[in-house]
Amino acid sequence: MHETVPTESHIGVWKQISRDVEADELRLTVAMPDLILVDQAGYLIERQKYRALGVSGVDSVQSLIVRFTEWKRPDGGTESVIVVGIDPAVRPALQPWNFIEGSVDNLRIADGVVIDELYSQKLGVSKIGETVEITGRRARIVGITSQIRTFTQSPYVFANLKNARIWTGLPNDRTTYLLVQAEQGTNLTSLRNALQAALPASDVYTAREFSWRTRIYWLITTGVGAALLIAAVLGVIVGMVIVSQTLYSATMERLQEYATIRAMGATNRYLQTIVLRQSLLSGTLGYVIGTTIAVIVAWMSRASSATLMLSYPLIVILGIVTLSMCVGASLISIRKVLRVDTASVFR
Amino acid sequence: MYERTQLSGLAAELRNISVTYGAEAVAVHAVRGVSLQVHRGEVLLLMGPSGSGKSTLLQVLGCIRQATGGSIFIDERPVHGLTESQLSQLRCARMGFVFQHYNLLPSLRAWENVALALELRGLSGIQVEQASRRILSYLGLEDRAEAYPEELSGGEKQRVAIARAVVGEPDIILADEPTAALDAASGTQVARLLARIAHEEGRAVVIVTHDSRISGIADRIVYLEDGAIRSIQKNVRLQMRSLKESGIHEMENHSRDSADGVVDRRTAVNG
Repeated sequence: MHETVPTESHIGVWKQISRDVEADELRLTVAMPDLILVDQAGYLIERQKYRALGVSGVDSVQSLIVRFTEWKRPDGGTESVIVVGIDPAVRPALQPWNFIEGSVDNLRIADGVVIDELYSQKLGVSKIGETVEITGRRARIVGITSQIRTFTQSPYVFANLKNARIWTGLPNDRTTYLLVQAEQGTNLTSLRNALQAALPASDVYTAREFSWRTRIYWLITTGVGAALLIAAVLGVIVGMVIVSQTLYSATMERLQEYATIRAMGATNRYLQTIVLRQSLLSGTLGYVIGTTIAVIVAWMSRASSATLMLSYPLIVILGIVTLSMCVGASLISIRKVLRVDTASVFR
Repeated sequence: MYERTQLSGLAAELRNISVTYGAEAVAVHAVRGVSLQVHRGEVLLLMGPSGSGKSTLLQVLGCIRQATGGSIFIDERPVHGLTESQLSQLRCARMGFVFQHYNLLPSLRAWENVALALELRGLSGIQVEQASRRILSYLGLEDRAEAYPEELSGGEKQRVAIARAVVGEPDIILADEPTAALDAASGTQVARLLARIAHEEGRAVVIVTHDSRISGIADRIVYLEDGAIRSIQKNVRLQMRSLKESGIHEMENHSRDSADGVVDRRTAVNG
């Protein structure tokens, strides 16, 4: 029960930070060498897209701009946002999804941006038509999506490529990524190698590689993962100590009963089974309560900016971890029971 | 089980048993060279002052404490050299225990406490419950089978403990001060029950007690002092019965003599 939430947070974050880069299995990403993070890429010369288009197996190539910039709310306050510049005319492409108002086509509007409802309060806008300023230039809300989360504190703001360049100060012949859509049936590894050969000054990643690279950055390089992992491990340790202490106290309270059963002829195996059964019963009860709470929290967090993702395999794994923890915690009690002085029943 | 005829023969034998706690200068000799035979169908009382070695001897007989010297035979087989696991199996199969403070498990109902002795033998299912309820009924507790220990009186608790001790049909019942925590009436009831188990079912019942009121149920009383046998009183029950019967006889004579107007003062005082 105790380790459920931190561990699930850890896995949830792992998934959330790579959700958008992992969406399309047929996509490859071209970026500047030594890319460490999806939100912090260097510049590419955009005309490289034509060289990529010339590679066999490539269906389409889309420029993608991802840059931090400043958002000025209608009330005068400022927020850091990540502008995601896309070409709304290219299909299929990386596009905002889960629209609750407007559509991706609205991004063709000269100063249009699409935001997510999760961040409407943070950005100071709540409906289509409202205007704000991005780096001193006007921007208008033309669409609102649902549950497109950012892992950083800076919300994603979708725009077309032209506006994205204006708002981020990126020159017209520059982009941060090239998204390569492979033709159906293409061997992605071969295509990646071919693209890498055609674009030697850049790095090429499959969607999965890009996803892992992002995950590794956040979870290992930044220390976020380590902090969450430590929290999860501490949860397991604290859980073990608590279960162990509780079980030990219960065993000590009933030591005379164990001595009686032993005097009556109980074998070590019988006594071990009693303690283990108690431990597993407590563990199961704690697990059910803990998982129920975690499921409720996950359900409640689905509409928040920090969602808790809970998968069935994760629930099963946590069950195994919890019960293993209880078995481990029962060892001290078992040792005590097996060493009980049977003669004490005659005092 | 209850129709079982009286058995005879040796249930257990202690040969020159010694138990010493500590070593050398601080050594305490709890039992010194005790030899004793315990027969099926008899009630044997171990009596003596506190610290005389009664409980230690009972623990040795129950294979709960290792003797530092001498040999123990259960059902004419030596106990020496058995592993802890084998001793547990021996206790489970051959012995039943009754404790001064009942030692019933508070979280179990009366019948479940009794059933525990059978479960330790690897039995389970409805037969275990039926056997447990049957023995409780035999001991007059059929309407208390569902009660938890805290809902039972002291006498009832001890009768449940006796039921637990005998349900597995052991050869030897070892009871440690079974009446000490009971009032006189309950103590007498429990003592009679133990005697009935010995005499009607042919089990050996060994009782450690300070309670001289129950000496009337004993076939033998072994008096211990400083860890050694001071004396053994045999045929106690028969003598007591004989005394009782003669008392009745004397009373009958007294009634007749009174009717005749003659009083034998000596007989009246002694009777």
